[in-house]
Amino acid sequence: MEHVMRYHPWIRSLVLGSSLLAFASVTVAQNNSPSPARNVSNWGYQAEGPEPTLPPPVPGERFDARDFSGAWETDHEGTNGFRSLTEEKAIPARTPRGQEVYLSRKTARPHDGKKAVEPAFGNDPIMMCNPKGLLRLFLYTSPAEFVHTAKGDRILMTFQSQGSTRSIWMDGRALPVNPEPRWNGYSIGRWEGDTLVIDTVGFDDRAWLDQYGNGYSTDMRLEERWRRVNRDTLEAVYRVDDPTSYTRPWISTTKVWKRQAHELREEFCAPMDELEFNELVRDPAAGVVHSPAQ
Amino acid sequence: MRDQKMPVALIALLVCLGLPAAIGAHHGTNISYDRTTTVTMKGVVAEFWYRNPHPALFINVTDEKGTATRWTIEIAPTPYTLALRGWNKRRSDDALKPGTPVSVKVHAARAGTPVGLLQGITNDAGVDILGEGGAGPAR
Repeated sequence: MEHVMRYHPWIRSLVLGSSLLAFASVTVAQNNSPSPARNVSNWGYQAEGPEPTLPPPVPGERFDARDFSGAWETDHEGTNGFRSLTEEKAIPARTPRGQEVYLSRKTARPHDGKKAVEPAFGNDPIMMCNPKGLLRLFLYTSPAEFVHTAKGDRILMTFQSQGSTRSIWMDGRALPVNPEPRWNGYSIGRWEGDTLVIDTVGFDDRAWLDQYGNGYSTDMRLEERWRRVNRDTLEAVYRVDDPTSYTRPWISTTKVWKRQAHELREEFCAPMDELEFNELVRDPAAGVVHSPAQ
Repeated sequence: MRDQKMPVALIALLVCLGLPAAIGAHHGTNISYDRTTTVTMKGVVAEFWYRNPHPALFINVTDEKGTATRWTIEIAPTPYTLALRGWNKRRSDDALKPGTPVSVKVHAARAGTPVGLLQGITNDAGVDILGEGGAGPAR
C-alpha cells in the first residue's frame, strides 16, 4: 500500500475504499460458508475416528431425570437373569398353554427342564432374521437410543439390533381396543414423578420372550417402569401380565442400562447374511452339510 | 455354494488340550463345539466375513498328503462387539487378506465337520492378530 500513498489524495481514497469493500466481501463470504464439520466420534464404530468417550462423572452432577436422550446399553452380567427377565427359579409357574409353548421351542441353551439342541435343529425365529420382539430386544446385548420428539407427544426408542423402533405415545391417548398384533406392541407412556411408566398391548406371539423360548400370548400386557437414577444410568423393571401363559405376573429384576458415548451402529439382520451363515457355519457345525447349488 | 465333505479326519493338526474359554456363550457355541479341546492348524486365508450375525474365517488347510480342506471358523463376537475392542472391518481386511498364511486355534465341531469356534489367529510373523475367543486384542 506504500506506493499508493504517493498518488493524489482522491486516488488514494478510491484505492483504500476498494480495499475495504473487498475485505468486507471476503468477510461476508466467510460468514456464509459452512462452519467446519464437527468430529463426532467414529460414526458408531463404522468409520475411522477417535474413540468416543463420555466426560468423567462429577459427584453431585445435575441432570434432567426426565431426559432419556442418547444411547444406553444393558449390563447383562450384572443384572440377575442372563438375557431373561429373572433367574430360572423366579419364573412364575406356567399355565399348561405356557408350558406347551415353552417346550415346543428348541434352542441351544439348556434351561428350566429343557435340553439344548444345536441351532441347526432348533426353531429360534431370530436364526432366520425374524423380528426379536420387544422383550427380547430389551434383553439383547446391543444398545438402544431414546429420542424425545420436539412436540413432546412421543418418545421413540430405537434398538441397534435389527434397527427396530417403537413409539411411546405421551399425548394422553388410550391404549387401542382389540389391537392387531405387532412385534413391538403398541405403547403409551406417562410420567409418575420422574418414573416413565409405559403400558404396551397388542403383541405378536410368534416372537419369543427370551432366548430360552419362554413365550407370551397376544393378550400379554407389559408395563415398564424406567428411571434415570444418575447422569449415566437408567434402571428399568418390566412386568409381564399374561394369564394365558403364566399363573401370576412375571416381574423382572431391576435392569441397568448404562449411557454409551457412541452413536448406534447399523445392525440390521440381513437374510442374505443369516441364511449363508446357517448354510456354511451353523448347519455344518452340527453335521448338516448342504450340497452345492441347492 | 460350497460343499463341505464330511466327516473329515483331523488333518495336519496339532491337537492339544485346552481350557474352555469363558466367553459369553452364543447360539450353539457350547453345544456345537467341543469346548474341552483346542485344535491348532496352519492354513491360508480364503475369505473373511466381517458381518452379522457373526464374523467367520475360511481357511484352506493342506495335510501332509497334499489334501486340501476348507475349514470354516466361527467367531463368537459380533461385528459390533469386535469393533468396541478396536477390531473393525478395515483391520480385518488388512490383516486377513485372501492368501495370508495363518495359524488358527479352534474348538472343533463335535460333529467332526471341518468347522470350529475361533480361539485365536496368529500370522506368519508370529503375531497374535485376533485374540482367544475371538475377543480381539487391544490396540
